[in-house]
Amino acid sequence: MLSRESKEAKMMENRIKRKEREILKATSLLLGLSLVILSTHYVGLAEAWPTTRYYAGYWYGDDAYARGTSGSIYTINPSVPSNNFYCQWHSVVISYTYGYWVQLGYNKNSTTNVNKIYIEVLDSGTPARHVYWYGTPSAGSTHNYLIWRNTGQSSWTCTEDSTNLRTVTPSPYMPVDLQSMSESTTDTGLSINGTHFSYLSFYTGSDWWLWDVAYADPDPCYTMTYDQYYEFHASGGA
Amino acid sequence: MTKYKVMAGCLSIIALTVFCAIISNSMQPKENTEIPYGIVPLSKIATRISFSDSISSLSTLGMQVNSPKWLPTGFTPESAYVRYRSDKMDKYVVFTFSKSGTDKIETSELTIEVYPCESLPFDKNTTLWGKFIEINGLQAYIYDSAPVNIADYKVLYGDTARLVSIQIGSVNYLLRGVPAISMDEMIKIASSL
Repeated sequence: MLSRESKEAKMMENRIKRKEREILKATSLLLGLSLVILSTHYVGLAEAWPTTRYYAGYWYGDDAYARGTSGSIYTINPSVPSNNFYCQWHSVVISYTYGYWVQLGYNKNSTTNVNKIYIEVLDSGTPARHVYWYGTPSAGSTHNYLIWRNTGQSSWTCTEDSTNLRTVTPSPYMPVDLQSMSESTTDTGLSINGTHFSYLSFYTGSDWWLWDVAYADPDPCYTMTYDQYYEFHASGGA
Repeated sequence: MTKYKVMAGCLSIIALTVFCAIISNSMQPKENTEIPYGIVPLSKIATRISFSDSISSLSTLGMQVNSPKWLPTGFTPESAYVRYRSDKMDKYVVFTFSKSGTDKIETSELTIEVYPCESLPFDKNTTLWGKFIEINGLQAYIYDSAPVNIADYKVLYGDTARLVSIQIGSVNYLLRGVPAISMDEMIKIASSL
């Protein structure tokens, strides 16, 4: 027979063991949860997006001497079907035959499901593609996005409103065209209604001039309203 | 008792580390190579015309453009792609050459993208790959495995091309050759411009 003291000691020991087991269980749960979040985070980014793209927007059709492009983009916020995305951006096209460019705009994809500002650079470096993510523009807000470089410099500065987000140094660095587009991975179930690009401008090295010419050939799922060479509305896709 | 304590301690440290990693990751601008965006391809923008028409039209715009006088065996000139700006041709052309009769910008075995340029569009200070050389005494840059971000090209020829960029006067010629063309041949093409 156990004495009263040893019984109490045994009970105390069991209580401590139970508590430790509970702590262990809670910690394991926390770890498990962390790993699930982490795997979703990374697996989500590795999602395979559809390769077909649908566009509505302008290209400038010039100019090797342009020092930049800019314009205001209204932030739409449609729901995005699973495994799809849309983005609205300005691009300095550096080579059409290699597929090199600097792009600034915002994206919403079905993984993160939130509008995010980004910069994308494709050039001859390794890796060839860099994407940098920034803030979250709120639905219904309009932001001015600029990609510009100073004369004699090979680096391009990407600016959102008055904030310089990043300076990038693509190689090669001279532009062959400018584009401002709404892009989507699907022509159904993703409405781009409300799309509005305005004050599209090119940089001469000292001044910003409104686009004096622009070309458009929207995909059949979209309708464009050509307000000016420097402004358009687009809708459709649902 | 000690065993449980050690295990709980280890798991807590791991959990904390993972959480910190997630938080720090989400707070910084991230580099993500997985989401491919795009631009509208030139094939949708440009108009196909003959070599001679493109060269003579560019000449009237004051842009003297040369086409190569030497091509690897079996290659023939295919097409010239130009852009029109308010019904006037823009100072930009892409020539395509092929051995198999492909005249598309995306899949031709050899393309030459020609455009006005202040200087060689590769900066020696920031381009840490490839080589800066002289061809016929002119500034040039060569890179034998330049990435190509065009889906149709990648399907046929892989991820890279042989790149030569040569500056002739105020015009840059950006050559893209499939890996089957040697770099020596690419340089020979560039030197015949």
